[in-house]
Amino acid sequence: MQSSDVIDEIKTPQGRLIKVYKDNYVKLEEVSTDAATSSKITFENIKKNLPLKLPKIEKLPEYRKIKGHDVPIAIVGGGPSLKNHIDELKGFRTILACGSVHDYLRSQDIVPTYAAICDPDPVSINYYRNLHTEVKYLLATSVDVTLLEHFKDYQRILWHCHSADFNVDEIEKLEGTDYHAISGGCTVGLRGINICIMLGYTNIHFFGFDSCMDEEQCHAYAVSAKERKDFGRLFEVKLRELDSEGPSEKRVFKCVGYQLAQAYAFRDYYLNFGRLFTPTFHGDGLMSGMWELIVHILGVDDQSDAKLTRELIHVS
Amino acid sequence: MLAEPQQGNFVFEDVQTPKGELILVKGIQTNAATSTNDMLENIIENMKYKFPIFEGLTEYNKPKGWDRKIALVGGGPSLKNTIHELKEYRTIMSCGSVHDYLINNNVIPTYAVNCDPSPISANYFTKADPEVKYLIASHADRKLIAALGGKQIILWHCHSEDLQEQIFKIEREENNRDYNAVGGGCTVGLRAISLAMCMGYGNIHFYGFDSCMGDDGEQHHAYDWANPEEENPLIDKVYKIHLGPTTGPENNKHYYVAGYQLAQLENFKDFYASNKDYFIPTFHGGGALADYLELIKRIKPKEQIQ
Repeated sequence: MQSSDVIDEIKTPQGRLIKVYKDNYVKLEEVSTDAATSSKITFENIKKNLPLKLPKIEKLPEYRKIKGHDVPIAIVGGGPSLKNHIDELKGFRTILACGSVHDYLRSQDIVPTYAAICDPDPVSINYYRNLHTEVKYLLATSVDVTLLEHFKDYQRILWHCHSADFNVDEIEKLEGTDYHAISGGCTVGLRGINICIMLGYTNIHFFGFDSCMDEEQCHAYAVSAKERKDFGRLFEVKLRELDSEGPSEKRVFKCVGYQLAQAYAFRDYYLNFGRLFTPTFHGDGLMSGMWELIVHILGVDDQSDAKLTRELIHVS
Repeated sequence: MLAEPQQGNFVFEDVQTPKGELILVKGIQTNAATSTNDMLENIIENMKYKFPIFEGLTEYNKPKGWDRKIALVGGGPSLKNTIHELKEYRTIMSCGSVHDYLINNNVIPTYAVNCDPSPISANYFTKADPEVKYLIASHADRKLIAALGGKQIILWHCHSEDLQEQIFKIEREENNRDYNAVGGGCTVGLRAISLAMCMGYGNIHFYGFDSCMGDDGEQHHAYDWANPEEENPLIDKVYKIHLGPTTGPENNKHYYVAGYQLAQLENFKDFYASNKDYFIPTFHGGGALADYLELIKRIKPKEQIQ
């Protein structure tokens, strides 16, 4: 894509840059998401949390223990489609709940094996009211200290949610050990994929990873009015058909900014690390649709990443 | 008791109830198949690998609440009839040789415990699963450690008065740690109760904890020996015991038990007496231990031992 093809640039309320190309479709380039908590506060949280000397993820006996491809793990986000796949999820032995989905799973009589939290905002507590003594709560070192207090009678395990803003030297000064961290993307779901891989899983089943809305619902459960407001602008996204060029009117998804960013980040992640795991999606959505396209395009003619970047998603 | 009890240093009490005389089990001796020196060598070797330790688990010392149950699974013959119930449990701890039998029956335990220092135990861990946490006593034979290669091995010290000083010294000098060990009794099943309690479980359900042979007095486990030639001699004598008063309806109830099972019965009684405020046992499948517990609970402490 030549830069001359760009006919306009739009900045969303969240600060994302949308480039409008002359083919009349808006295509996101380098989608960025704004952190609700500043890097400074995040790092302050780390400095408060590390002296608590809580167990670290790299010390778990299951860390980096290869599970084999016949041992699946279910990674669960809160997307609307989750409602329709609860019974399938109950068939999994090992489940990683990502972010706000925890209490919804508990309300469905599901006890996840792990629950990952990386949102530094104490608002996360609202989704962790129904805790379970057998769940391993994987808390990013950057979470607010009130969250650690909230989980004090439960299994707390810390992990570094890597950010380029971190001063690793300073963290190492605090820890006195090598810096282990989990990277992965802009949402807890994307970090969750890396957590699964670091725990030795390659056969990863995705539930509620829609990365899009269902009518007006962005989750399988209610979120607060404030959080809904923070989602900002709604985008309409068109994926192309598997066997034709250009966007399809049949494959239209509505999504908010962070969902779009997540879909893009997943695409990049899969292109870089897809050889490390096999995803299986339970429930339709933007992310599963995009993954199908990636696999189709790579499988058909081994297209370059550049072409994938250009043609996968059309946003209006 | 029909058979002559063995003489030795393991002496049981006579028990009486208001109804009359109860069990008479005297002089049962349990012998360790592995010498203390060999066990110490194993400990020194195994600790070199720097496996995670039991008290380092995040679930250690975290009370789970009475509504969170754990199934402890031994290999008693009754397990064949109750194994299907295990699918209802979220947390399962297999005890000793039952591991492969469970896996063969599509029951994947959460934890698998072993404290047998004999290399024979490796024969029962041939189907190791990558998601199981193997709680292996530090004195385990290297063959078992090798059989579990690449899996989640977690070491714990099986408390023994013979070895505590040496282990204390090794922990202090090599690892700068305190001596933490798990007590409990003469079998892996009894130690497993302690392990479960250390992890905060109080609602403990027992499966295959018969502590007796099958009804015919022949069947020792729900499964066969892995190596009959080597293991058959381990049960050299089978006793017939009665639980309950010598007069009355319970007199007709009898069990065939091997020496280690008899020892386990008595060890359990002591363990229950000391820890009954901290756990509620529920037995599934019947057997001598289940009935013995009912008897223990029925008899007032002052009346138990004359």
